Amino acid sequence: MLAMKRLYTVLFMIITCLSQTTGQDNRIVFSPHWLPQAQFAGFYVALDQGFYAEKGLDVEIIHPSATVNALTFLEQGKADIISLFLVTGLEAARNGLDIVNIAQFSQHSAIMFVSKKESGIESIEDFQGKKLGIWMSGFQEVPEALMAERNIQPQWVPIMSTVNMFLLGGIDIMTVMWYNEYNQIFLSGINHDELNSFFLSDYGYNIPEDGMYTLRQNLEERPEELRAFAEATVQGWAYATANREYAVELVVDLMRKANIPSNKAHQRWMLGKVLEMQQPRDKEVYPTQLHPDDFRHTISIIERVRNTRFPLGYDQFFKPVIPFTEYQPQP
Amino acid sequence: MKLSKEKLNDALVLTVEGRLDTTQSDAFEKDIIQILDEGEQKIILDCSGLNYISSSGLRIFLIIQKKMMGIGGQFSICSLQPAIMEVFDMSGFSMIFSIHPDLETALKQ
Amino acid sequence: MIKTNRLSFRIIIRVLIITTSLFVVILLGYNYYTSKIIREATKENAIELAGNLAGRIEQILQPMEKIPEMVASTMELGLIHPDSLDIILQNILLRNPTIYGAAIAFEPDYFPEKGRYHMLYAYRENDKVHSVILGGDNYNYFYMDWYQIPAIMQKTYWTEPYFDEGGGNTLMATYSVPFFCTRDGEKRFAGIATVDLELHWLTDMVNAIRIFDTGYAFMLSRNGMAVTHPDRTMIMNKSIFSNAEEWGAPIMREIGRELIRGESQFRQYTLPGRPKLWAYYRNLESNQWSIMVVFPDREMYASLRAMNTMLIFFILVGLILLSLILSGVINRLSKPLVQVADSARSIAAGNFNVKLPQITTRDEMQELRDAFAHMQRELSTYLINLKEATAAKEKIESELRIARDIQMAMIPHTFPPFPDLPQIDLFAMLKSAKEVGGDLYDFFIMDKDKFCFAVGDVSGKGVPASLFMAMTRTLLRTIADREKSPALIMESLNRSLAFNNESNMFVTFFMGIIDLRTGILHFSNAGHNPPVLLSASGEIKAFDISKSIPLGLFEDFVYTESSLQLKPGDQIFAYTDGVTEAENKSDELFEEERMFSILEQQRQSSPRDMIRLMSIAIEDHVGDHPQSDDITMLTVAYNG
Repeated sequence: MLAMKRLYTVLFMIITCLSQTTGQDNRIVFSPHWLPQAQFAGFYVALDQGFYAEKGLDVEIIHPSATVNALTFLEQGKADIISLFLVTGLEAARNGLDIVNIAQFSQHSAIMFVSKKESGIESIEDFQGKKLGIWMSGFQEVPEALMAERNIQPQWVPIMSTVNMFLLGGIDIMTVMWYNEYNQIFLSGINHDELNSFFLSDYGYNIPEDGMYTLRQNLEERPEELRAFAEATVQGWAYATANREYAVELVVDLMRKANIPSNKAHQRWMLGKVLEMQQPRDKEVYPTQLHPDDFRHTISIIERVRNTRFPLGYDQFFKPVIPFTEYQPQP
Repeated sequence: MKLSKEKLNDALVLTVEGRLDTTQSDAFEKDIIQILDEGEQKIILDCSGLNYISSSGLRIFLIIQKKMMGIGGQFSICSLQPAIMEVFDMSGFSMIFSIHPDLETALKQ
Repeated sequence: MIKTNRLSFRIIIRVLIITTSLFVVILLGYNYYTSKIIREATKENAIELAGNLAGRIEQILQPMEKIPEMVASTMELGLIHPDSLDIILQNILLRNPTIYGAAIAFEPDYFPEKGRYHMLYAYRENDKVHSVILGGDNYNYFYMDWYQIPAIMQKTYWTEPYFDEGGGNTLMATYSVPFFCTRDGEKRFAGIATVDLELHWLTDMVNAIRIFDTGYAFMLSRNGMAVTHPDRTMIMNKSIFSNAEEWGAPIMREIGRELIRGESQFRQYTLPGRPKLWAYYRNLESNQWSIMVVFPDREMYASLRAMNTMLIFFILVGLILLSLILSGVINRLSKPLVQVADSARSIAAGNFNVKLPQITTRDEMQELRDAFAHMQRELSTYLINLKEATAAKEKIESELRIARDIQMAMIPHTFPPFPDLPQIDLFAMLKSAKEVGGDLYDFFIMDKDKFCFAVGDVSGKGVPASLFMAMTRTLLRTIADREKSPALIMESLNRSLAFNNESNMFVTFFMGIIDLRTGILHFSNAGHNPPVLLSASGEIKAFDISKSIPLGLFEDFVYTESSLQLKPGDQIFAYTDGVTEAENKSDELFEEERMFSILEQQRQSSPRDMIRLMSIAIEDHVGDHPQSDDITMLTVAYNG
C-alpha cells in the first residue's frame, strides 16, 4: 500500500524534472491518458524508431496514474500534448479549459458493457437497479447518456483500476474497453461465450475516442512542432501496423520497466483492437480527422447529460495540425 | 488279360478277357495249369472278351486240349470274336478245337 | 564368416526370434504395469508435495488472517480509541515479523473532524516500524480493490498479489476485513482492517519444490496470475490464460478454469512443440490461490527407462550367451550327423566298409545311425547281388548273341543266292523281336532244277522258340534230301516235331517247291498265313489253301498239297504274322490291307526293294514301340 504512495512520489518527481525542460522549442512532452500499454503503441514506436527525432523533436513521454490524469499534466504545463477520449476533451473544454483537438486517431467507440450470462442480464433494460461498474477516469458521460436516454437507472459503482470486483461478482455489469478490460476478463479465465456484451456503438453511441490535445496557446505558439509531432505519430502507428510483434514487444518492454503487469497476449489483443478502431470503416473520414458529425453527436450527448450548452463550434474545437489536403495515405 | 472261372452245371466256364500275347501268356499258362490240376471233366473257355491272341496263346489252348483229351474230358471254346476266329481258321486250329458260337450251345454239348 | 545354411545357425535364429518376441512381450507388459505403478506413485507424491506446501502456507496465512479480524472485532466493540490506532498497528507489526504492513481505513467522513479520508497505516522500513496517516485526492483508497471489494461484498478479501515498488520489488497481498458500527441504532459499514503479507518467502518456498530433474511447482492467484514461478519474469506478468494464448495451448486455459473452480487434478497435458507434461494442481483454502506441480513425462519414467535399458542390455547379453551355448550344444549334438554325412559320401564313393560313428545316446541320432548302418549293409548286399546278376545277365546276353549268330547262320542270307539261276530272283529278311526268335525261312535247290522255299513261325518267342525253329530248319533240310513232295516233307517234319513234344510247341509252316523247268509250284501249308501271289498279269491275292494245322501237334496228321503254274514275272510274297500284327504305341496293327496296298504299289519292284520298302512301312507304323513279334518276309520272283 505504501508502494502506491511511493509510485506517486516518483512520478511526481519525474514530472517535475520534465516540466523544467519544457518551453524549449524542440522539446515536446507527451502524456497518454493512461499507463503504458498498446493503446498508445504509435507514440512509443515513433519514439523508439526515431520518427520524432527525424522531425527535429526532442520528445519525452510521461504517464498519468490511477489518481492523476493527463489533463492535469496539460493544465499544469507538465505536458505539451496529451491524448484524451473525445468526451473527456469536450468536457474539459466545456469546463473552461482552453483545449483543442489537433488530431483524432480513434474513429469508433470501444466502450461496452459486459455481464456474466449466469447473472441473467440479457439486455441493457435488465440493467435497471443492477450494480454497474464504471471507470472513474472520465468517460462515464457516454454510458450515462445511454442509460439516461433509455430511462434505465443502474446502481453506478465507480471502479478505479481492476476487473476483480466484476470477477468476484461484487458488481453485475462492468463498463469495459473492448481492447482492454474485455480481454482482461477473458485472461482471468472467463470465456467469451460466458459473457453478454453490449457495444455502445450498437446503441447509437459510436463516439470516437483517442485524440491528441493541446492548449490553444501551445497551438498558436508552436504549430510546426505540433504538426511534426502529429505526423511522426501517424508514422509510428503505420509502423506499428506493419510490425505488430515488434510494437507489442516494445510496449511489453516499457511496461516491464514501469513494473506494470504485462504479457504479450494481452498487448497483442489490444494493439489489434486499437488499430481496428482507427479504421474509418463506414465513416467518410480522413485519418486523424474528427468528423463534424461525430463532433455534433458527442456534444449533443454531453449537452443532454449535463443539461447545458457546449460553448465551442467544431472549427473552434478541432484544429487539425495535419491538413487533410496534404495528407499522404500510409500504405 | 483277365481270367475268371464259374461253375455252370457240370461245366467249368473260364472267361478270358483282353489280349493274350506273348508277354501275358506265361501268367495265363500258370493259371490254366492250376485249374487243369483240379481235374475238371468239362471245361468251356468263353472267349467273348478276347481281343487278340498270339501263337503263344494258341499254344496254351493246345495244352488245355491235349490235357483234357488225356483224361477223357471235354474242352470247348465258345464265342470267338471274328478276328480271332479268322486266326483259328488260318492256322487250322478250328479243326482241332470244338468251337461253339455261344456259351449256351457249348453247355448243351 | 557365419554359415547361414548350417543347422545350428538356423536353430539359433529361430530360438532367438522366439525368445526375443517373448522378451518384447514381457518388456511391454512390464512397462505397462510399471508405468501405471510409477504414475500412481508419482501422483501420490505430487499430491503429498502440494498438500504439504499448501499446509505450510496455510499455517502462515491463517494466523495472519486472525489479526485484522481481531482488529475489526475490537473496532466493532468500540474498545479502541481512534487516536491509539497507530500504536496498535505498530504493535501488531512488532509482534508479527511476517506481517509487512497493517492498516485501518474508515468510510468517508467517518470522523467528521478527520475529514473525508481517514486511514492509518503501519509499515516496515529498514527494519523499523513506521506509521502514517493516508488518504486524499491523490490516494483515493475508497476505490482500491483492498477496500472497495470487501466493502461492497461485506466480507473478508485476499487481494490479488501486487508488487511493492519501494520494498525492493517485493510481492505483496493484502487481507482485508470489513468492520461495522452501530450508529443511530443502525448497523453500518464503517471501514476495513488489513494486513499486508509480503510474499517473497512464498516464491522461495514453492521454488524449493523439485520433482525429478526439472519438475517444479508454482502458484497462481485467483485470476490465474503467476504468484510464484521459477521463472521470476512470469510473476505478476503472465497468467495461465495469457500463456494459453501466447503458446497457443487451449489446454492451459482449460486447466486454469478448473483451478478457478477449485478443482484438483492429476493429469497429463501437452504444450505445442514440447514434450508431454504431467501436472497436479489444487487450491489453497484461504485465498483460493492454487498450487500447480509440473514435471515432464520423460522424467517421470526416467527410472523405468533406465531399468529398461539395463534389462535390454542383460537380455541382449543373455541372448548372445544363449546363442553361443546353443551353438556349442547343437554342434556337439549334430556332430554325428556330420560324421554320418561323411560316411555317406564315402559310401557314395564306393567304400561300403567305411566305419560309422559310434552313437550310444539312444535318441534320434542313434536311430539315424542304425538306419544308416542298415542301409549300408543292405546297399552292400544289393550291390553284390547286382554284380552277380549283371554278370549272369551279361553271360546270358553274350550266349544269346552267340545263339543268334548260330541261328542266323542257319538261314541263308546271301542275296542273290543263285546268280547262275536266272529263273529265280529272291530276297528274304528275318528280324527277331528278341535276341533269338522263332521265325524262320529257308530256301535251297533240290535235284538241280527244283527250288524249295519255306517260311515258318514257331509259337512263342525267345530261346524256346529259337530251339524249336532250329530243330524245324535242321529237320527240313534232312527230310528234303529224302522226300520230294511238299506234303510228304510236311508230314515227315510234323511227325518228327510232334514226337515227344511235351511243351506243346508248334510251328506254322509254309513250303513250296518250284520246278524250274516247268514253272509249276507245289506247295503245302501247316496253319501258316497264306503267302501272296503277285501275278505278272497284275493280280494280287493270297494263296488259296486248304486248312491244316501247324506242325508239331499231332504226329499222324495228314497234310495236303496243291500246285499252280507260275508264269514268268510272277512273284510270291511269304511272311509271318509279325508283319500284319506289327503294333504301334496305340496297339494298332499293321493289318493285311496295308500290306496288300504296299504290295500293290511294289509289285513291279525287285524282291529286295519290295521287302525293303515293306520293312520301312512297318518301321514307320511301329515307330518307337518295341517290336512285338518276329518279322519274316520272303519274296520269290519267277523269271521263267
